[in-house]
Amino acid sequence: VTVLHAYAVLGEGLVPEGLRGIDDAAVELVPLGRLRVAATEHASTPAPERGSMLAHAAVVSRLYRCVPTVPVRFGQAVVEGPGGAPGVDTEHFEVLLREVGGRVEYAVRATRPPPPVASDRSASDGRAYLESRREAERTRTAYRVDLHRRLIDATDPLVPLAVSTRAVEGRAGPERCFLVDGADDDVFRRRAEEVLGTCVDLLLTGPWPPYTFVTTASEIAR
Amino acid sequence: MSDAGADLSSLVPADREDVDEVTLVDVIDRVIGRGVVISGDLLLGVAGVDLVHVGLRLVIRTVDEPTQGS
Repeated sequence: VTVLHAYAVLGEGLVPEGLRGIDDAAVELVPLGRLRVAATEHASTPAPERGSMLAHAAVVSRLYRCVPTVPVRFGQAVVEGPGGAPGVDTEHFEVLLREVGGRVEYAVRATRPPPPVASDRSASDGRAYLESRREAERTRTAYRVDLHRRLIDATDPLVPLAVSTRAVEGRAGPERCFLVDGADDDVFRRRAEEVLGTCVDLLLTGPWPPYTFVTTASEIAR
Repeated sequence: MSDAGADLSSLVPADREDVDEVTLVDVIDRVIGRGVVISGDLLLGVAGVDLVHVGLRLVIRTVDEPTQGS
């Protein structure tokens, strides 16, 4: 069985030639209705290893600079299987392409380390232990609320420069993501560096392909 | 395993001075935690060949975390 590892759904435009992805496989353009899927062919589904994930990211990064691109999450594999001849439903992708095509994503991530939370394991009884656990949870919640408020307050001046924003709980901390027109890329970055100049606990990352803005809100919140 | 794209600097513009600060976790977070999820049945043609009406089923592989050692 041949597995096609999908990198992105593409709109119209010239794709860089000689693009290679996971395991140095040549990136093919597979028709999907009026659209195309950038994919590489493999004998089995690529494992989520560091090299594969970075290769996936590199392909998407090359593509989105040249052609309207909807990044596909790593792990979306297409295999030939049974089935009739289902219709092609590309409307969802076409809507996303209109929303993110020609746009880039920036993110501001809060990097402040969480406060140490003491849990009193030496508590004399169960009640005292549970109370210490409750207090620790209150501390963590207050910290998250404070960090989120700090992130929003510090980045509000950037909102007018963005087409859309999203708050995301990333693996490395809370982020506020900004979808920015490609033409405004430099303007946004300069303004962001100006705004965040003195904020040692906030890190600007990007430009990224618009991964965050093709993800449903419920998936982001998960 | 290919090393293609293994250099983080290839994922951000060359004129960025803070490439070192773009951590691996930012990349991984996007690659496996975000991006569109393809679901349902799609018709795909093989590149270079006329569209072949073959039912292709998309298999969604759940990827929560990188494998150990990755």
